[in-house]
Amino acid sequence: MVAGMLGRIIRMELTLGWRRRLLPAVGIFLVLLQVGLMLIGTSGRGQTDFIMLDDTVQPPLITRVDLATGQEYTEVASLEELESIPVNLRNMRFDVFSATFQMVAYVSVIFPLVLGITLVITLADIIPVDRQLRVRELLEASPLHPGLYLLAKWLGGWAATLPMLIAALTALLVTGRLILGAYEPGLVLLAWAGVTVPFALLCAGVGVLAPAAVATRRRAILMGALLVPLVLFGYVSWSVSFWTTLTGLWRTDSTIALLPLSQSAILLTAQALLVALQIVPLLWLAQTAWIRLRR
Amino acid sequence: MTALSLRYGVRLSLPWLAVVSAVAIALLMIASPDAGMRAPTLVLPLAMGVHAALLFAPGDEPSLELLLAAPRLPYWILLERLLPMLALHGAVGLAATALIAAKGYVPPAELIIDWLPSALALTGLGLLIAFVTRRAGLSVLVVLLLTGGLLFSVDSLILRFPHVFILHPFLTPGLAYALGIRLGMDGDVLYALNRLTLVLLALAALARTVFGLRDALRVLGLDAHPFQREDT
Repeated sequence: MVAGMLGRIIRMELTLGWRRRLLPAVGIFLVLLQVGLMLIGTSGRGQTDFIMLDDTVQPPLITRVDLATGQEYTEVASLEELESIPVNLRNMRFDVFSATFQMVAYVSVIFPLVLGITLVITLADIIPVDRQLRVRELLEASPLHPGLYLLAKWLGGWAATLPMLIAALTALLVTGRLILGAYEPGLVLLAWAGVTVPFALLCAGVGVLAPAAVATRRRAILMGALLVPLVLFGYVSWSVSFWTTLTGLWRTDSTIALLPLSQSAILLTAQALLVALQIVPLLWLAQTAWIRLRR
Repeated sequence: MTALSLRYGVRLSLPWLAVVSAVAIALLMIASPDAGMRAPTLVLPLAMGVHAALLFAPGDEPSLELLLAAPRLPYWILLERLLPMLALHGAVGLAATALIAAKGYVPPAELIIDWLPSALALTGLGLLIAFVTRRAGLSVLVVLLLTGGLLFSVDSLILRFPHVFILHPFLTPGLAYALGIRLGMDGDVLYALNRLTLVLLALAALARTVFGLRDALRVLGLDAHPFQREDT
């Protein structure tokens, strides 16, 4: 019976998350923001005809594209051209690398920033609204332990967030292909799974549980707004580390290609975020203890 | 029975948020003397916009029926919360202006023209969105994202689309002068147009909210408006 109640609360939060229209609005805003940034980026950028430098053959060959006709052609690379292209940008298609890197940047920089700010406010009133609507008394009269009630609300918040993340990612992958061209989807998906999702779940969990003891919706939303600086601090901490790792590796005269380097940076950041995600169960325990104490 | 219940309004208007603004301005002035000169402009529009979003959202108001049933015009519900909010934040802004002006860098009138129209515009926006969508949360989100995004990117956006200057909430006289050269207009005129537009937008938003309060059924969510179907 208790398990059934838990499942029903989670399902109800999933439904309410969409009926309240805030989460779909956040997803739509994310996609529109990304598309806008892509369009602004592609319109302002000077086009390059460089496609690839292959230094595994002798003599080294450079592939270019005729900007007028779109035809690719290969010619022998001059010494100046060879010296001007860094070692770790050789032997791969530059247009694919550029598009992939932009997509990784959107997914691991822009997405988490917007999600962090929006989720703590959007999900802040999930628990206090029950008290405001006088439903808490009914729930407290049920055989549901307060800790399990909080657990159900927390998992319900996560359940409501994940479909929005998946939908936003799908829309981004499609629009990225249309606007930026070909890219490596594996790295983009790794960035999403390793960076965006853990950070979004962390912010969603904190957003649901931190205002759990607040009496009204208005105070809960205010608390969510006051959590935003904390979220931004967390975001800056891991994103600085992410970009420092990446650009630090670029600056050394490394022979490792940049895409595997990006993979390393993403995995390191994912590790740190998964550790940070432990804050949510600790917050759940603290709120459960607080609610028991107040009874 | 008086129409205005200021004591109740002050309590509901979350007056301590003005203290948060004051602390934020003070910290900014201490941390960065350069940014501190524009501290009221950087802090007050965001703070007032978020505060206004939390003042009155029909979907979040627990005793809305009682408030609307009181024998007074419904817009007093809004005004008795808005006036204390404006007074408190205004006092914080004027105090910060006096402090900055005392250092002798910028005349106080110029400082007030720098922060007041932006703050009023975002106040109007926060009020209007909270009233129309019936949700304080969505209004707070919009104000936060809009202000944060504009603070970081609007100057580069203006350089690409200069005619949007009229909606730039953080336009400075220097940028207006540069835009004026580009558009072939006087920079002072551009700046004045921008400030006036922001104030007019604030008044329009407030007027829309006040007139919207006349329709009690719609305020209670009892008619078929897209944002008012479910209060859950």
